[in-house]
Parts: sequence; structure tokens; C-alpha cells
Amino acid sequence: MESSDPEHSILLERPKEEIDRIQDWIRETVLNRMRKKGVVIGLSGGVDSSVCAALCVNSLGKERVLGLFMPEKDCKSETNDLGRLIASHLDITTITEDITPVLTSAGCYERRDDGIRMTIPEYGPDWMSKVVLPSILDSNRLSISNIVVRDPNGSDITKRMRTRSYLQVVAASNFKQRTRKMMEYYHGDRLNYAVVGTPNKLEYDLGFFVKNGDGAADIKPIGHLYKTQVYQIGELLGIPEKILSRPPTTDTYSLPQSQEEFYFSLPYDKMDIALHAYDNNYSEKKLGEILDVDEDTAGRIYLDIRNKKRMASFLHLPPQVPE
Amino acid sequence: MAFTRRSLDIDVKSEQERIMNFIQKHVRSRKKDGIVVGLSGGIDSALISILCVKALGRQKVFGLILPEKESNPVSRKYAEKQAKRLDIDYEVIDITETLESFGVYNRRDNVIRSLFKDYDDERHRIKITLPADILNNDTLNIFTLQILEEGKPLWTGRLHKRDLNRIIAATDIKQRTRMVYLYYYAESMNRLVCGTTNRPETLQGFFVKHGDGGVDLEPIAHLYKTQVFQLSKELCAIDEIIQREPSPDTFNSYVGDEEFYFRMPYEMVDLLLYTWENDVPLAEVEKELGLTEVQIKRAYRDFTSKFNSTEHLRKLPPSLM
Repeated sequence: MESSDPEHSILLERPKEEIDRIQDWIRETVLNRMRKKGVVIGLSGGVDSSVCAALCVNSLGKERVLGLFMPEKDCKSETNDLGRLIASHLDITTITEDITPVLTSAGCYERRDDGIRMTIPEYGPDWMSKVVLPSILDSNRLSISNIVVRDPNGSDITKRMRTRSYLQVVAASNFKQRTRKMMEYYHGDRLNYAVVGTPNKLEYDLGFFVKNGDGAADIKPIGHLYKTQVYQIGELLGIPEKILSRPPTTDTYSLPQSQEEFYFSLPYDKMDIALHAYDNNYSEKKLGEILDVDEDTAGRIYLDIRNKKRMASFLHLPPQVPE
Repeated sequence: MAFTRRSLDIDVKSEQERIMNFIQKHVRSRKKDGIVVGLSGGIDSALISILCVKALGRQKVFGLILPEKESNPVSRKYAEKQAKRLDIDYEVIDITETLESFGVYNRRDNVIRSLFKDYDDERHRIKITLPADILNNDTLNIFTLQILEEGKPLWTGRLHKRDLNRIIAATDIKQRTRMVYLYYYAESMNRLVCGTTNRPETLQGFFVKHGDGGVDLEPIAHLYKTQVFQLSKELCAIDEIIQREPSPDTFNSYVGDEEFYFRMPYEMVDLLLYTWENDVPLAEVEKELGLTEVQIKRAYRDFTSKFNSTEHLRKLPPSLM
């Protein structure tokens, strides 16, 4: 990204002031408006939850922030390590709730594996898997997902998923985000704490969250910040380098899966620029120039954003009532 | 038009049409293949399932019955009977094991034992209530915990806010777990999740955030409970459900909506809520309902306090956007 060019830059001009503004808002919202005693936050070891936790600690004091680790059997060990790193860095109290037994009894893994077998019948219990989208830069793929599975010998099979198979795999995987949010609300309700949601602007605007899962929260302190901006304030907040340098991951599937391949179809810095360009009505030609892609590709990116925004608008709606 | 006890009467036919159109419109505009609804064996979900079948046809309505070990056994029976009457596809999933692995019962019982150390979840039952009869009883909304043994009260104590929060935090996992199952089925079938919250519940915040309140559509959120009964009778919900007393069915002893939350019979909640919402002159209310000004104001005070303290449940979360 050409951060020197003001037209293309989406970096915050006054990041320190923005940090102050968010921290004032958290204090006012949690303590005065919501009359809560503190906040609960799920720590994934990613930059978003780490930045949210740091903002909450600065704004409320570390004794009013409870960190939750909610691992399950498909989580990478990195998630746990980096989650603990930020917690000890901020010196906050944490609770660990392994959600594997809940997910097992709800049939999350079994239902997901049944869904995978609709596409790949030989998929076995000790295999690994992930769902991926082809890059938007390569083809006009518009939301046709592939499943990648790896057998115990380490060889991969990739296949296009039929709709029914895709829906079931995603629906089953969504048990994970929803179970975590339930656990956060359990501790929040118990302590009279607010539950913090950690979506950033890309996720919020483009609907990359699970309804009543990671999309649910009492406050969303970075819902207005591009991912680039989250990194920018993360550096100022002194978030450990290991966390800042980790590529964004969903950590939902047993095979490593980046957010780019599952949902965004572009690296986050490019997606930030594309969303900013879309919101400011840049032409396809202009977006193409900024991202150094041809106009057709830029058109596909816009179409993708338009579709995702439409879907996101439904996800954000409160339950609809007649009239 | 002057207020009367008949003010809440609705024209069944036009109301039914209106709700059917609403359901059809949302399913169509979201490009979904139908509805998933949780059937509790109560009247609200029975009515919803009937209206959805009328709006979409029975193939597009899927019922989920999600009992757990503390549910009243008739809940499942009535829910199944209603589903069979409508000839819709349904599944029964006992969620006890999921709740156990969440530690719902243990977490709750630990709080109970901190108040009554001899609590034994095999022998004893729990009952949580607000003071009865708000119209004649000028008390605050202080919850009472009762331990029952063989149906008889064994121990009674005041439930402080902190302990109440800890108990409700655990029991709310029941409603939230049901939400998670409903969304699993809805998402894998490309359908919407239909909620069953009625108007008094909505206005008084008698639902769980991201639990029974976490749905896509709320087709009867504008209807008073009396109207839900009126429609359900006309549209032939099964008799057992129509005759049942409304209950949250959340504790391991029988607790009705009235004793747990509303402190009045639902007919009276409806009428007074209506007059409260519509600023009906007090004299009219007194005359028509045979109440004194003091009684009416007591009810209104309770409405206002519940409405205000649950306002955040009806709003989008605050943000900097």
C-alpha cells in the first residue's frame, strides 16, 4: 500500500487520538450507559482480540477485564500460545474453558464430517480439512467453494463442493463460534460484565462473522476500523510483535486456513483498499490502477463486495417484526 | 374509542393474512427455502408453526423439539402432537448432554449450595419466584429461592442480585443452546429461524439475548398473549396446548410465567400493558377493570422498570460507527 499517497492511504491520521476516543467511549458505554462492572473478552491470539483487550485494559483497568481461552481440538497450538502471551502482557485474569466436550455432544464434528463426505465419501476420522475459495484474482469464481482434505499420509484432495455439502459443513462449524459466545455470555452475565465483540470494519461490513456467534456482543470497539488500522493502533498499544506478525486465520478448520482463502478472496490490505474505494465510489478503472489489476478483475472485486454487503446487511438486522 | 375489555380483540382473518404475508415476504426476499422453528409445547410456538404452514406450505416448515432433563415431560409430548397434527417434518433432540458438558446444572447447583448447603439435586427441586399479586402487594421485584422436597417447601430465602445473576447466567445457556441448534438446522437447509416472542415478552424483556431472542423473524412480537390465544383457538392448535398455563419450563419444578416474571395473570398483564402503552385515562381503566388508582400505578411502575432495565435487549449494540 502506498501510504505516502493520501488518496490511497487508509491509515489513521491521528492514531493516538483515535485510541483515546475509543477508550473514552468504552469507559462511558460500559460503566455509565450499560452499568456493567467490567468486560469479558475471548482471546484468540489474533490481532483483533489482542487490540480490543489492550483498549479495554487501558480504559477500565486490568482488574475489570476477564480474558477467556476457549480452545477446542481443531485449534492450532499457536492460538493458545499467543492468547496467553497477550494475557500475560496485559496482566489480566483469565479462565480456560475447553469447549471440545460441548461441541462433541452437540454433534459439531460429526455433522461437519458427514457434510464433507457428501463431497468426498472416503473422508475418514483422522483426516484433516478446510474450506477454501479460489482467489478472485485468478478466476471468476464468485462463491464457489472447494473442500481440501488431507489423508493421514499427508496427500491432499481438493474438490468443488455441492451446495448442500457446503451449507452443512459451514453450519456445523458455526457451532464453534456460537458456543464460544455462549460461554462469554455465561461469564458476562454471572459477573455483570459486558461481552466484547472483536470484529473489525472488514468483517463487520462484509459479513465475515457468525450471527449469534462472533457477531454477537454488547460492545464492538473496533467495528469501525479497517484491518490496516487495527495493526496501526496495535503497534502503538505495544501489542507483542509475534501477534502482529501472525497472518489472519479463522482457526476453525483442522487444516491451517487463512481468512483470505476462506472469505475475503484478497489479502486484507488490498481488501481494505477495495472496500474504501467501493464506499467512496471510485470507478473500476481507478480501483484497478490502485491495486494494479485489470478492470475486469476490479469489476469482480466490486461485485463480490456488493454481494457480501447485501448478505451482511441481513446478518446485522435485528429480528424482523410485522410492520 | 373508549377502552374496554374487548379492546384487544382482533379480526382473526385479517391478522392471519397479515402475518402470513410477512413470513412469505421475508423468506422470499432473503432467498431462503423455508423456516425452522423450535417447538416448546407452548402456545406461542404452536401458533407460529401453524402460521408458517399456512404461509409456506408444510414442506417448508421444519420443527425442532429440544427437551432436556428438567423439561416438563408433557412439553415434548404436546410439541410432537402439534407437529403431527400439522404433518410437518420435525426432529427431537435431547440437549441434556450438551448442557451437562457446558456445566449448566453444576454451575447453577454450586450457587444453590452456597445458599443452602444441603441441596441435593436428586431429592430437591428449585423454584425461583417474584412476590405474587403485584396489584395488592406493594413489594419490589426481589426474587425468592425455594427448595422443595417431595413437592413441599423445605427452605426459602431471598435471592440477592449477585446470586440471581449467577443462576440465570447458567440457566440462560438452555435457551442459547436451543438457538445454536436452530441455526445449525436453518443454515444447513438454507432456511430462516423463526422466533416465538409475543408482545408482553418483548416489551418487558422476558427473553434471553442471543437465546430465544436471537432469531431472524418475530412474526407475533406485536400480539398480546390474549391475542395469541384467540388466534390459536381459531386456527385449531391442539387443546392440550391451549389449556396449558404459560411457563418458561426452565427450572426443575413447575414455575409459571406469572410467578416467575409478570406477577399477574396474563389477561391482566395484557389489558394493563395496553392501557399503559396507549395512555388510556386512569378513570376509564379503573372503571372497566375494577381496579383502584393505586393498583394501576403499581402495575405501571413495574412495567416501566422492566421496560427500562431491558431496553438494551431490544436495541442494536452501541458502536462507534
